[in-house]
Amino acid sequence: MSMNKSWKDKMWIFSVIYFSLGFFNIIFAWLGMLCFITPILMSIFGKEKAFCNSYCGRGQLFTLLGSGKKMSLNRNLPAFLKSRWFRYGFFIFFMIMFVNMLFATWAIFSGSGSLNASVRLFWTFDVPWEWANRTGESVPLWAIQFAYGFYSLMLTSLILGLLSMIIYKPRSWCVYCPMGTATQMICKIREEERL
Amino acid sequence: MTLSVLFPVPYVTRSRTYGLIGAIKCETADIGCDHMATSIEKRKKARILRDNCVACGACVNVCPVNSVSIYKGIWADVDPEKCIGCSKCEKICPASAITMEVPE
Repeated sequence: MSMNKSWKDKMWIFSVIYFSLGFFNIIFAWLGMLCFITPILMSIFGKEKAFCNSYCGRGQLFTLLGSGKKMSLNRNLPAFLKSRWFRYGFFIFFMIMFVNMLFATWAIFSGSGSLNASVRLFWTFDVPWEWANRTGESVPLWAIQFAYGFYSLMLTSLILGLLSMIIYKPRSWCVYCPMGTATQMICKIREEERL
Repeated sequence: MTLSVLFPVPYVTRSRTYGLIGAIKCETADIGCDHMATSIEKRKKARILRDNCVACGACVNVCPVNSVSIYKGIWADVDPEKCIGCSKCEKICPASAITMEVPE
C-alpha cells in the first residue's frame, strides 16, 4: 500500500478531533464548513464523488465502528429511508434548517437578537454549552452564534448517523446524507449536460 | 453450488482441494471468499441496481479485487471479468443496491 492510500484512510481522525474541539471551544465549529464546501467544489470541478468515496471522515468513522469494531447490527435500511423522496426531502429539510440558522446569525449581526449559547439537538432540544464560548471579545457575536448553530447541525447529523450505523448497516447515513445527495445530483446534472 | 459439492471435479476449474468429500474451497479463499468452489461460468457476480445506488463508495473500499468503481459519481459499476462473487459489497451496501446473480 502506498503512502498516498494510508493518509486517506485516516480522515476519520479529523472527524473525532472536530467534535472534540467544539466541545472545548465552539468557534472551531467553523471548520465544519470544510465538510460542506469541499464535497460540493470537488463534484463541481470534476472530482465527482471523490469526497464521499475517499475523504469523508464521517463515513470512515462509521465503517471503522460498524465493520471494524462490529458495533453495527448490519440490518437493511427500511425501504422508505432508501426512497428517493425521503433522500431529497431530507436534503431540502436540512437546507431549510441551515438557512434558518443563517437567519439566527443575521439577527445577531443586525443587533436584533441575543446569543443563544446552547447546542440545539434535532432542531428541538437546547443543550447548555456555555463553557465552550471562550473567545471573549476577540470574535464578533454573530460568528459565535453561527458556530453554535453549525455545531448543532453537525452533532445532530452525527447522532443520526451513529444511530443508523448501529441499527442498520455501518454507512446507512450515506444513503440520506444531504451532502451525498447534493454531490450525486451535481454529478447527474454534469453528466446530462455532457450527453 | 449443490452440483459442485456432489461432483466437484468437473465443475472445479482452478480450486484447491482440502479433504475428500466436497470440501473444496474457492481459489479466492485467501482474499476472503468463503464460497465452495464452483465453475467460473456458474459463479454469481455482483450486479448494481442503479436506481438505488447512492455512489457512497462503501463497495469500492471493501472489494478485495478492485472490481468496483464509481461511474461519474452517479452509481457503482462492477467489472464482471474481475468480480469473484464474494458478496462483500452486497453485505456492506447501505442502500441494498447490489444483488448477487449468475450472469446471463
